[in-house]
Amino acid sequence: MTIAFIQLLLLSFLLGNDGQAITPSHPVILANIESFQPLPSFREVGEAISLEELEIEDWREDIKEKLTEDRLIKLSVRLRELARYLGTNLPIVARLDSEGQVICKITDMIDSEGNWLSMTLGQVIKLVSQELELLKTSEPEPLIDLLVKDEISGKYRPLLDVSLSRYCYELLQAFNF
Amino acid sequence: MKSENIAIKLFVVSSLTLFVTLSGMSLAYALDNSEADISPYLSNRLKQLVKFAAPDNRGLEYFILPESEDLDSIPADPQNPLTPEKVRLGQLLFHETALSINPINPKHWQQASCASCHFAQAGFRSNLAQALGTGGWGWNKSRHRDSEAFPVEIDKPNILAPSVLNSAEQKVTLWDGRVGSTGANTREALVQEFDVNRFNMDGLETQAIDAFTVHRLGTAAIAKIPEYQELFAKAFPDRPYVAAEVEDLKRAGLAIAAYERTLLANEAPFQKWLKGDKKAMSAKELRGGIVFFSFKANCVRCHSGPNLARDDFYAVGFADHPNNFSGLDLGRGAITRRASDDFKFKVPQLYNLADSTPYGHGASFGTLREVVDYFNRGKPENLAAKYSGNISRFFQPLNLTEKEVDDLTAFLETGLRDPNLSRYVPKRLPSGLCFPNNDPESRQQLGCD
Repeated sequence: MTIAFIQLLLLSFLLGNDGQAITPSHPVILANIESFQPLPSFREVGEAISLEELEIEDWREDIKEKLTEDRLIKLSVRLRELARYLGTNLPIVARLDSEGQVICKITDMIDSEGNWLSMTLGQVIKLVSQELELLKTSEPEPLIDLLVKDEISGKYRPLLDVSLSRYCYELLQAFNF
Repeated sequence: MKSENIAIKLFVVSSLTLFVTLSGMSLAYALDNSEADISPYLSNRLKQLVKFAAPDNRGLEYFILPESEDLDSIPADPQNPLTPEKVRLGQLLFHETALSINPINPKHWQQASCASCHFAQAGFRSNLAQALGTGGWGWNKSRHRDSEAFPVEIDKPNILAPSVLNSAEQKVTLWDGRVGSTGANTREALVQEFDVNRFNMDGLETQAIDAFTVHRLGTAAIAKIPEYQELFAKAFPDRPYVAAEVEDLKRAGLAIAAYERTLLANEAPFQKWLKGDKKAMSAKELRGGIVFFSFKANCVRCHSGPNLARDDFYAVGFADHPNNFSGLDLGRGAITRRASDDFKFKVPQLYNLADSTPYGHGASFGTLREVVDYFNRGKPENLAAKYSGNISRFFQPLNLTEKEVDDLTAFLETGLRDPNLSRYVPKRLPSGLCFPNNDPESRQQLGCD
C-alpha cells in the first residue's frame, strides 16, 4: 500500500508540465522500495557495460552548454521537494530504455574514495549541486562510475565514465525542465 | 692547553645558556605583567559587550547559569517539577548499565547506559564521530563496534551525538528539533503530531522517556533492587505500588530528564567571571570573549541564550555525517516539510566543547580551531545547502585576524570549560554494575574487574 502510494506520488512528480508522461527514450526516474539493496558487495557484479551496449553512445557528447543554472536550480528544488516528503534515503533508479524494453537500471554510484553508494535522492541532489558549482568554472567535467542492474541476467555491471553534466541533463529531461 | 680550551668553551656555553634562560624568564615576567595590566581594561570591555548582548537589559545576570542545587532557578517542564529526590534517582538511572536489557544480541545485555554516549569526561558528549551505545566496546576514545556483531545489533546514530550539558535551557532536542512540544515546536502542527511528542512535554522529558525504547533499555531488571524501589518511592510519592516485573519507563524518563537539567557548566571560568571573579579568565580568554560578543564576529547573534545556544535553526553549510547513507540531511526541513527550513540545524550550546571531538552535526571538524576558521572564511562546505538559498545571512566572512582567531578559540576551549564536571557522576550504582559502560573492554579500562 505504502509502495503504491509512493509510486503514485512519484508519478505525479514525473509527469511533465503539460501533464504528459515522460517518453521512454529518456531515462525514467522511479523509486521502488522493494528493489533497494544497500549492500552492493552482496551482489554479483559482472564486467563493465559500455554505452554502446546500452545504445546510448550519444552520452559521450559534451552536453554542458545545454545546462543552465536556472534549470539546475529548478531541478534541485524539485528533488528536494521529493526528499522532504519521501526521505533523502529514497532509492532512485534510472531505468535505461531501448524501444520500450527495459535493459538495465542504475542502482549505485562510486564515491570519490571508491566506495559503492546506493543511488538515493540525497546522492542525486548532491550531484546536481556539484554540477551547479562547476557550471561557473572551466574545470574539467567529473566522470561518474555507476552500477547498473542487467534486467535480463539479473547481474550488476559497472557503467564507467558517465559525465556529471550528462547525468544531470538526463535528469532534466526526465523532469521536463 | 687542550683542557683549558674545553673549560673556556664550557664557560661560554653555560654563560650563554644562563643568559638565554634569564632573558626568557624576564620576557615571560614582562608578558605576565602586561597581561595583568591589560586584564582590567579587557574585563571592562567584555562586560560592556556582554551587557549589550543580554536581552531586556538583564545585564551579566542573563548569562549566569543557575547553581545545580538551586532547583527553583533551573528551567523545568511544569509536568516534571524538579526535586532533589528525582534528580538523585535520575543521576543513577542515567549511568545505570542494568537498564540495557533489550539488546538485539543477548551478548550485549546490561553493557551500556545513557552515559555511554553522554559522559562527564567528554562534556556529556561521546568523544566519537559516531557514538556507540549497545554493541559498542571500550571506553571513551577507544570505544569501537563489537567486531563480532552485525551492524544492526549496534546502537549508533548517523549524526554527531549532541551534548546534554546545559540542556535545561532548551525546549526542543536533537539537531533538527523534532522532539518536544513546546518552544520552537509550539506552532508546528506537523511536529506536534509526531508520536514521540504524545506527552506534550519539553524535548528533554520527551526524549528521555522515548530513549528507553529507541536505545533498547528497560526498568524490569532494576525494579527488584530494594534501593531503587525506595528511590522511586521518594522521587514519585504518588506512584502506586508497582510489582517488580512491571516497567516504569515514563517515571524513569522523567527522573533522567530532571537530572539532565541540573547538568550545568556553572564553574567555567566565564561563569566565574560573570559572577564577579575578574581574574577567572586569562587575558587571551578575555580577548576571545570580546571577539565572541563583538560586532565583528558577533557569535552571540545566534549563540544568544544563557547557555550560548538557541532554540532556533540556521543553515551554515556544515557537511553531513559520513555515515549518513542517504548522502544528505535536510535537517529541520525534513521535520517541518518547509523548503525554507532545508539544511537548518539547531544552534548548539558551547560549554566544554574542548572535552570531546569532533564537531558539527556531521562530525566534519577535528578541532575547535577548524570550526572558528570555517566561520571566519564564511564559505559553506555543503554545496546542496549553498544552492538551497537557505544559508543564514549572518554566515559571511568575518575577516578576523590570526590573533583574533587564536583568542576566540581560547575563549571556547578554556574560557567556557568547566573543569569539574565529574561532580555530576555518582560514586556507585545500586546495581553494583560497572558504569557508564559494562562491556568486557570497558570493565578493564575503567578498573571494574
